[in-house]
Amino acid sequence: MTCNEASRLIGPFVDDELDVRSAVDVEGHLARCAACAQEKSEITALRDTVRERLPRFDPPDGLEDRLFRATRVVALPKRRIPWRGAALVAAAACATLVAASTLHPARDAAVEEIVDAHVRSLQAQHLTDVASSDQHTVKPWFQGRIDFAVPRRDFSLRGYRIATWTQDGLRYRLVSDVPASESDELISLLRGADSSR
Amino acid sequence: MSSGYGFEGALRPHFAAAHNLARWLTRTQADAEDALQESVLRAFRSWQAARPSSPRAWLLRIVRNCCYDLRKERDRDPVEGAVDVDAIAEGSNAVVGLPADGPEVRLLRMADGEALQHALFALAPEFREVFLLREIEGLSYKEIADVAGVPIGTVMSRLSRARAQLRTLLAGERRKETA
Repeated sequence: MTCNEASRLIGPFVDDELDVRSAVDVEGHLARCAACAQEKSEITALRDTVRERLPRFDPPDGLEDRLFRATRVVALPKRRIPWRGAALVAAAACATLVAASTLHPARDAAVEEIVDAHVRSLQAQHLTDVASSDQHTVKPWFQGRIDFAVPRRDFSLRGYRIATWTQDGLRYRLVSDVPASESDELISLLRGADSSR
Repeated sequence: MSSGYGFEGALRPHFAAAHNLARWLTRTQADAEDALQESVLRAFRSWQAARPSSPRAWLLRIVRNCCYDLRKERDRDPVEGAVDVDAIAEGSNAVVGLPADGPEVRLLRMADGEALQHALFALAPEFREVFLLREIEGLSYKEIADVAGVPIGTVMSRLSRARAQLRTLLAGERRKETA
């Protein structure tokens, strides 16, 4: 075996990716050739160092749970119709409803689109929220950020109050006033670019 | 519900690896989380149809693709996207004529975390990912080929060149420091 042949096989040899016969050949060559043995030593030294010292980026606390929980929300409409209904009712209550109708004429596709948008809105860390339900805080905050007026809706009849408003598209974070509810329900109101109202 | 459990039970153990890979392929934490969020949703949607034999490699492939999609979307690193890294002349980063028992092995063993991170980010992402999947995640060539969507031969040449570049970067920097 020449150095040229061996040099292509040293990496796979170190990685234990060679068949037995080739591995024996490479081993024999390494015993005779200092330059190739050096090459092998460098590859293993690099591996050892990297495994020992390369920083590992551990996920921040809660990220895993948050992302996997989102898939359960995605799965919900298929099992729990009321949730889907709630999203659509809330969207309809806002006169500026848009269900991405231009993109998805099919109703199910639109539903999926809405649910996806909603799920994303719950996840993204970089969106800007204004954590207030006071319209004197909220309205000025939105001014200059969006090119339409923020419609103010009363959701109290449905047992919700607005907890936060979000800039992205237009979202309210609605909190159920019913204490029995085990957690906040988050409802997205989406307004599309083609809506004139 | 059993399918839901199967999905999470199969993929959650690999979440840390997925996060690590996303972080190395996107550079910022916010981008990594965006890519991961999309990955988990994509994985969830195709889980039933895919039923992967290796959930780990399957998830990493999705993460990898989401990271590249995000990169494309942001139109970031346009140079990296435009260059066919495998077509660059092989000899350009070959390490030749190393003296036997040279100081390189010692230098490589001394490299600290910061130097390693710096060197790894200096690689084209196609080289970086192959190296990480092999040395950190311990994937086989076949699995890496599946994750990266390239033939095994390409995996081998990319890995070989990633190692050569890293060795040059790390030993070279050290040499400068100690000079």
